[in-house]
Amino acid sequence: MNAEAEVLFFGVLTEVTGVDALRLWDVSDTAGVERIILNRYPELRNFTYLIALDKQLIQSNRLLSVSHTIAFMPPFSGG
Amino acid sequence: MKRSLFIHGPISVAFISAQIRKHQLKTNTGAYQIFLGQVKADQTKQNMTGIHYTAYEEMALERMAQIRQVLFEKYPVRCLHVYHSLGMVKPGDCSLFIFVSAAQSGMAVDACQELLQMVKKELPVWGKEIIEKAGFQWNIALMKRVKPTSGSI
Repeated sequence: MNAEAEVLFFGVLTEVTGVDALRLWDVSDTAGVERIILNRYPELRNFTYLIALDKQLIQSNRLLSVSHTIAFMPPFSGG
Repeated sequence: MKRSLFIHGPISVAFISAQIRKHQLKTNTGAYQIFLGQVKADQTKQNMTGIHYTAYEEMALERMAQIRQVLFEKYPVRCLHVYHSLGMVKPGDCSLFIFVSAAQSGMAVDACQELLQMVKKELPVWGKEIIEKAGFQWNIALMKRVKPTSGSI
C-alpha cells in the first residue's frame, strides 16, 4: 500500500536541505522515506536527528497508510 | 492550556507580572513557583548577539498538552503554564517562563522542577546562537556614506 508523505526539516537540518518541507509519493514505510531523504541529502548522515511520524517520535520503522507528516529534527535545545 | 505556548520575541517583565496578577484573583492558591530562563551572553564568543528560536509548533503544542496531563495527575497543582520565545532573544532577555500554582509550596516547587526538565527534554524547540560577523557594522556605515554621494551626481 503506497502512501504520501509531507517531510519537514527543522533547525540546523534546514541548512543542509535548503528547504523546510517537501512531498514524497509512493512511499510505504518510514525507513523508505529516510532512505530517499539520505540519498537526496547525503550530508544529513553527518548530523544527529530524531524522526517524528505524525508528531510522535519514533524509534523504529513504521508502515505508512494514506497520508502522513514525517519530521526530521535535530536534538531539542529549547529553554 | 490555551494555545499560548509560544511568544514572538522576548518574554517581557510586564507579561510575567500580568500573569501573576491575574492568578492572584484565585484566592485558594497558596504558592506560586516561577522559573525564568534568560539568554546568557557567551563569554567565549564576544560577538554573540542572541539566540534565534524555532519550533515544530504543532508537535510542541501536542507534547505540551500531554506533559500537562501527566503532571496534573502526579501533583495536586492548580495551574501549569509554559511560555517559550520564538525568534530572536538578546542576552539579558527572557526566553522561557514557567508558572506553577498550588495550595501548598512543596507541590508547586516539585511540579515546576519536573515541568522544566520535560520542557527542555521533550519540546521540539531549537535555539541557534547568532554571531555577529566582524565588519558587519563597518559595511552599514560604508553604505550610509555612499548614498548621499550617489544622490548628488
